Amino acid sequence: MPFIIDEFVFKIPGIESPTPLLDTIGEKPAEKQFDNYDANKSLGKSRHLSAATKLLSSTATKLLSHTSLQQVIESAPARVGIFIAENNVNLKDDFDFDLCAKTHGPDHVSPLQAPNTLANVVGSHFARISSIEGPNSTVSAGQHGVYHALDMAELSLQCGAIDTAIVGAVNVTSCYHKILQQDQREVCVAALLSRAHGDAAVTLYPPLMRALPDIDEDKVATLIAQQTRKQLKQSDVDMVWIANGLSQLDPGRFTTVLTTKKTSPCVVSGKHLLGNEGHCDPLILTCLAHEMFKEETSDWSRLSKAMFGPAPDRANTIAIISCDEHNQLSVLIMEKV
Amino acid sequence: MTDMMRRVAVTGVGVVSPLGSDKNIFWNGLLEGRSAIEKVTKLDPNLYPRNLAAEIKDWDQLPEADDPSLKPYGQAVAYSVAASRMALHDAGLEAVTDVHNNYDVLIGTTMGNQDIVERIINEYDLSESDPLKDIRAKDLGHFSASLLSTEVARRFGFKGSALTFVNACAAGNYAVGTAFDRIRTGRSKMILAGGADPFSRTCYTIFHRLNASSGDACRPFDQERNGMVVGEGAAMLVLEDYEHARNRGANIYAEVTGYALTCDAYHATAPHPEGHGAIKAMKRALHVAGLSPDQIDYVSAHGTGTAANDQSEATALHDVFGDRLPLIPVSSIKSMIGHCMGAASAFEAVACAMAIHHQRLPPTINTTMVDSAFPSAMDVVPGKSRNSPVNHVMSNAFAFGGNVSSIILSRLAPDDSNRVH
Repeated sequence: MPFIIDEFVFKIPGIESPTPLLDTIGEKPAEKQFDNYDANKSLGKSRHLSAATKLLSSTATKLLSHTSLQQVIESAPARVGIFIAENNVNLKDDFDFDLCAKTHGPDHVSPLQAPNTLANVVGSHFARISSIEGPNSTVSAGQHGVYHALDMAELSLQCGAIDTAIVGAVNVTSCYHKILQQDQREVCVAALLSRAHGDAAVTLYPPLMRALPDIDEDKVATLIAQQTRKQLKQSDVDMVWIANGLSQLDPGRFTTVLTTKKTSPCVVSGKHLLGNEGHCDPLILTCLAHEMFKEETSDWSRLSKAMFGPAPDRANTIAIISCDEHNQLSVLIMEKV
Repeated sequence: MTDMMRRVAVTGVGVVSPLGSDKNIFWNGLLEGRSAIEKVTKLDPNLYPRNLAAEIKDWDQLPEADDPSLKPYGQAVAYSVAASRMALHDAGLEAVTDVHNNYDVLIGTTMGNQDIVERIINEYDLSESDPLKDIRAKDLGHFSASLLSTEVARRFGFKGSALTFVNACAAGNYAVGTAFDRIRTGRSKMILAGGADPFSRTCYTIFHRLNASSGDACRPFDQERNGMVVGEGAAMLVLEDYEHARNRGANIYAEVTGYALTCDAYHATAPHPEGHGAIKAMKRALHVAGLSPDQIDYVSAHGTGTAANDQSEATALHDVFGDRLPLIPVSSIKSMIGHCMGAASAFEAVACAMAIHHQRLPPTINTTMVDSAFPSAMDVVPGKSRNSPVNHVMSNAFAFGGNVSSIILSRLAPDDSNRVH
């Protein structure tokens, strides 16, 4: 079942909604980490909350100004679901908690820090402050978490459990994340989703998540074509955006393969657009594509620094993909209707 | 749309449990009312005034204990792999031969690979004044909870989604419920779903500091209950598209027929005192299953034995089942195997499938007097298992953060009875 983005919000150090996401592309933020996750004090007392909780909640709270969301929450709070993609969000909290327990003994650990060791508390805190009582799910799937969160949201919409979904992704950093060489940009993005309706301008289709025996350009192109045929009833898309996977896919070679197979003439590298690869990027790129699709005349050449192949004059379909060293591949197809 | 939904069968179960790592030992232990709760051995018991735990005792006897390829991973991965192997064997699926399958792996966990953090702290002798030293990326790289599902998928040739739910103590139900949705909507034909959590200092300390742990026994719903006991382990179920299962001649324990997820939106660590989220979840799960409350024959309670949880759950059960509640058996296997965190509701799903299969209910041990403060009397199946007609069962799981879940399992319709184990 297709679904749509009603609204999205984001926060990166120095820039946040309602600034257009496209305006952040190419901007090099002076800092990669926030000085203050809740500079607007939208959360009230937040001293004991984890960094990820503060960042996600203070970002997603911006969605509450959306009229339809407020109405749904007030009339049927259980008809709104929250689906969060996380990747090691509690890593530093876990180290801090256990180092304290080991060093000083269990009686010296603050019980107020206990929730921060649990990844699900990030989304649950936002549910609490916004009175959202529907499904509240936090998923961990490395670079593919966003696709799974979108898939769960879509499943819940399709099965009638909810009418509105909030899908979020958050990345915080620390000295431990640095050891992991995890994306050092702190970022949060949250999108409000609902079922596609007749006058929807942009639709998204349920993502595909698969394991391949091994990842190469040819196999990925074949899978994109299969998914495109299944969901769009055509064999090609106008652009393929790589959110994660430049260790597995060479964008130049990938463009050649996609062009030869007549699957797509143009590849956009998320890493070249955003400066790095992180688990939030599939949602950032989905929201960026949504934003550009909604422009009256989308100027795709603004992505030229990250583009392989010719910039399309017009584009109505985009496949956003991620792959990783575990041979997992995810594909999300979007369409301008 | 509901009419077009596919049916979802449970065709295999596997456990690494405090009662023993074999489905029959686990089930018979439950029926015998055997407690796996003893003094903690994986931590210094002198540091904790209430020092009980339900630990895995037979791990060294399992092949995964000697598997060098599992050594770098957290124990949650190893437990998941062992329970998955047993579940697949039970389902008659030692080897997945279809290399183009779309089979998924969904695993729930609370602490995930927290033991990786503790291993690093111990091995590198980290301290608060020197919290980093030269930690190698490859050691820390095994922290991600996503590895629970990706490693199981990789090792058993499952080529569909690999997803780990980090929804704390309700995570096992999240996995089973989402698997139900994925199969009934035609996304997948078969899913390994369950939960895993190993013992960890952090987890044990959390419940100690929240004054939620018991020093003598876990007594769910008892007037004298004084807390929960931390357990560990993994439980996995093979869920299949019913036709897929029939076509390969699989034995079927039960069907998953309903589930629901809700959120209390109340408190970070306490349940809503009147069980608002639980009421919504149970009612929604009944709606999905197309059942009325009076069709439920047994409830596997979250039943942790803490004052707050049991009061909240008893209140919610009374709201849903009304005056009929005293007639419905409601038991908590946590009285025997402790609270196994993300694995807890997966163990309970296995117990529910076995209860349907054997038409027998596991007891609640240690509970002698149901709390009179509850809005209704309750039949907690005290002390001894019993035979009972079991057609539809509900299993509840609640978590920190207010994450609430209910699933419903049902016996196969009579015309399919020849396919029951």
